[in-house]
Amino acid sequence: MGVHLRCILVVALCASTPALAQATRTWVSAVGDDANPCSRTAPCKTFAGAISKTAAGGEIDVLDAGSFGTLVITKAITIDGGPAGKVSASGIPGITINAGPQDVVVLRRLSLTGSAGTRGTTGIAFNSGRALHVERVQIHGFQQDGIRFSPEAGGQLVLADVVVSGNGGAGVRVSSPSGVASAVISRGNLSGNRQGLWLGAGSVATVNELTASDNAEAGIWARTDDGGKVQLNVERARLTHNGVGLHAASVGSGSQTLLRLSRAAVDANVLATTRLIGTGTILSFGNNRMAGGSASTCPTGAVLLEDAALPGIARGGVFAPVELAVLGAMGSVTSTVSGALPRGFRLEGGVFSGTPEEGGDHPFTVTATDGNGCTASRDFTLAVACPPMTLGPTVLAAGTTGQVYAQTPFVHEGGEGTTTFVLDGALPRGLQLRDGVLTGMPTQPGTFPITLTATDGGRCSSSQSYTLAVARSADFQEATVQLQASANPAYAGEAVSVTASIVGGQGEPSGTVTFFRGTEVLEVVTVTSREAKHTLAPLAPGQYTLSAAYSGDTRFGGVDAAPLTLEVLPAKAPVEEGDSGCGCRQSGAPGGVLLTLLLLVLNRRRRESPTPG
Amino acid sequence: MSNPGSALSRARGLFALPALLCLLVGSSASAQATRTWVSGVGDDVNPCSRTAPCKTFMGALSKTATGGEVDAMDPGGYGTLTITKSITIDGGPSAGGILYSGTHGVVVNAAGATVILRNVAINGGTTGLDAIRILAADKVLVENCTIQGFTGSGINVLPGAGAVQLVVRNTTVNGAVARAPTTADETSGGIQVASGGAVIGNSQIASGLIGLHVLNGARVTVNDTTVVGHSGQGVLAVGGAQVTLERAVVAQNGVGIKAEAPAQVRISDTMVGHNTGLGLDGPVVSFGNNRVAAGNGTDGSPSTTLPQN
Repeated sequence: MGVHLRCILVVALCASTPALAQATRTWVSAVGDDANPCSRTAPCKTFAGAISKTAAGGEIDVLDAGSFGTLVITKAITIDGGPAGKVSASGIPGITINAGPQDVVVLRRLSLTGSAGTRGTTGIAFNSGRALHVERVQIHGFQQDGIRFSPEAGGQLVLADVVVSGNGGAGVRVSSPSGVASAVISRGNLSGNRQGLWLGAGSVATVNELTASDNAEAGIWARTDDGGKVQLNVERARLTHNGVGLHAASVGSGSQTLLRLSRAAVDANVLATTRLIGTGTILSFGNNRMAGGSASTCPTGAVLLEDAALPGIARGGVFAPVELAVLGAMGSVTSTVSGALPRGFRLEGGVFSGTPEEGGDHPFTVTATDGNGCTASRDFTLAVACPPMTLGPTVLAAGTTGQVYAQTPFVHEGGEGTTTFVLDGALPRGLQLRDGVLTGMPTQPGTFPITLTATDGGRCSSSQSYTLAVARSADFQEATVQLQASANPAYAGEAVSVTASIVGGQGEPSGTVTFFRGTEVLEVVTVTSREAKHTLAPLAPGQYTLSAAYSGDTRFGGVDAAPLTLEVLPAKAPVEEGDSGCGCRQSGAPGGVLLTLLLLVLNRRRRESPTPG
Repeated sequence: MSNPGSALSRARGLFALPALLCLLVGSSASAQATRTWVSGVGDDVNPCSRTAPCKTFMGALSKTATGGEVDAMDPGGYGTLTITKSITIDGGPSAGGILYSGTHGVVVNAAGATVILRNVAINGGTTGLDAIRILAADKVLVENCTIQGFTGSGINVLPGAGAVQLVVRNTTVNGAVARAPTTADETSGGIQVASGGAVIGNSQIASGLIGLHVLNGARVTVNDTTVVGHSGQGVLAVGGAQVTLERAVVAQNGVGIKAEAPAQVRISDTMVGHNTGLGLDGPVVSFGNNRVAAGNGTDGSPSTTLPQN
């Protein structure tokens, strides 16, 4: 009787305590009830039911095997799942932590599963709090990350003996938008996720003993953009059978992604041991086991530039940045370009970007060099589409010899900057294309097929083909031009002139004669009395091809003279200086012969002398 | 969890229980068992047998022979205890252990004794003082334990503890709520050793003020252990302390490893990185096989580099 009374009294005491004040230790059991005080003898059924009855800084313990529901934590708490405490989540996170800035949350010996059917979103989502310690916890099968530690103001994540596998996102994701997220993994296994360990801006992580295998994208994946920083030290790790072992990307000015690797085996990954993007850096302490290059040797294929599609772009369009990835590289990569990139387009910090201002196909080669001096090259072509452009007029008016051609400006529309016109085919004599205007007086009848190409300031062009007809006027007269030199051969230093004579036809031709040496225009001389004369500058010895072209005029047709080959001999020796040059040469010759003979004799003697033993 | 009813219950039991219970109580008083049991639903008036377990470690301790063992049968909160003789406490695989507040968790004051704490979670609940406080013993083994929530030290070997040998294996020490000492008696090391020697292996010391604090002539050997996230020093050796680290990672502390002569720390196959201040400070001797250029505020350099042989 006394025993019973005492029991009732004790139970009543225990039961009444938590109702009055929160207990420091509460209990959950698969056969509990959240209406209970969560005591050892009257446990609750869920973590959510127990946490409201647990004092801040207290502990919730699992009494027996069971699944105790998802949980949102807003205060310091320790949860110990014992040998068989579970959380399974469907469509929502397993455990969400929105704790105060000084709160420390400890999760120990829990098994979190994303459940069948609609899987849980994230295993453990830490949004705020001072620190999260996760010990001997297994997390499996969530849609997104196993652990997502991304406190806005930073915090500390300490993992010991955790296994995070089979999650659609990262095994463990660490970043902080505006603070520093410090993370430690001691003895972790992050396998079969998309990425094993994911590090974003604001993370400082240290790993001691990690296995990351069979992660589809990367064992360790780190990336910063626009000034963020990621640091990771790895001591003792096995990174195997992942997409790549380590992925380090750092893009944008001031960004830093720095991974240091010690005692790691990085092996049998699908694509490569490492992938570096931008200024992402992986340093080795020289004590790792991994394929690829080293400071002393760069085997063929140690480093590869990953193929990147450069999508075609319209000129003047903003090119969506494309990052260049280098596989198998260590240290950091520097890239150089050979070949011309279109103006406005660049490769900077391993990223193609810009606004191409020049049209057409631009082939170039990128060479990447990693920290060990190993290199890789790849050819790329950027196709820049030109804007639609028009060139007018589409038809040229006919001309008549001896009559000024109606000035025809070519109009190039749709381009940018200054248009350059290039003509393919011969214009009739007397017509020229100047600054995009066809102008002059044709002096040559016939039909002239020409093609005009107009290229704008950004290497985009449009072309138009024309046939220009020049009718022969009634009073048109043929003429020929004869070219004569004042002396041929001439001597160097002598003044030589060439005269072009217009022959044939009736009357007095006007117009000009243009003198050429090769293709160089020497002078344009007005025809006077059917002649034009050009005095050549003193010439050095040699042969010169001289030619002349008559422009024609209103009645005479323009025509080219047959080219003249002018031979210029060495200068004559000045006669005034007495002794003839001939004498000198003859007296000099025997001296030379004598000298040659003397040298021959000396040579022979040298050959005959005994070689020193 | 405190159990204020237990002493009263026992007293009542002695006077009020029927003859059978009196016999049981009598036998446990006359002969201590070598193995006793505690259970979350036990009672300290019981003889602490497998079928009649006690409720607290302290209750069982008095009924356990010197050199014997107290085992936890099932989940439970087994309360603080003061150990004065050779004993093994095994918390087993269940959740629970020792949740204490305002006092020390486990006090070892057992000159010449061997004390083993195994599979015990010790949680100071943000107000507890030291988690394990060693005043005297011959050997103290801490295995597979988790220690957290203390405001003082996680494991504290006091200066007067003599030639105690502390062994820590597979244990995590989480000092996240440790407070800066305000009096000479207070300490704040994850593991603080001011006397004797210690061996720490396969463990993690995290988040406190000082990770491993070794004083006086104490000698500590650490292997395969992570010392991380302390606002002060990861490892601090002062006085005549001698510390050896093999395969340790000392990271994300204010200062990585600091020794004040004549104290000395020797490091081998150890990474010292991501400490915000100095990586190495003072007489820290390297065997030339460490990783120190690893992103410390200032890496620092070993005072001496010894050859390996």
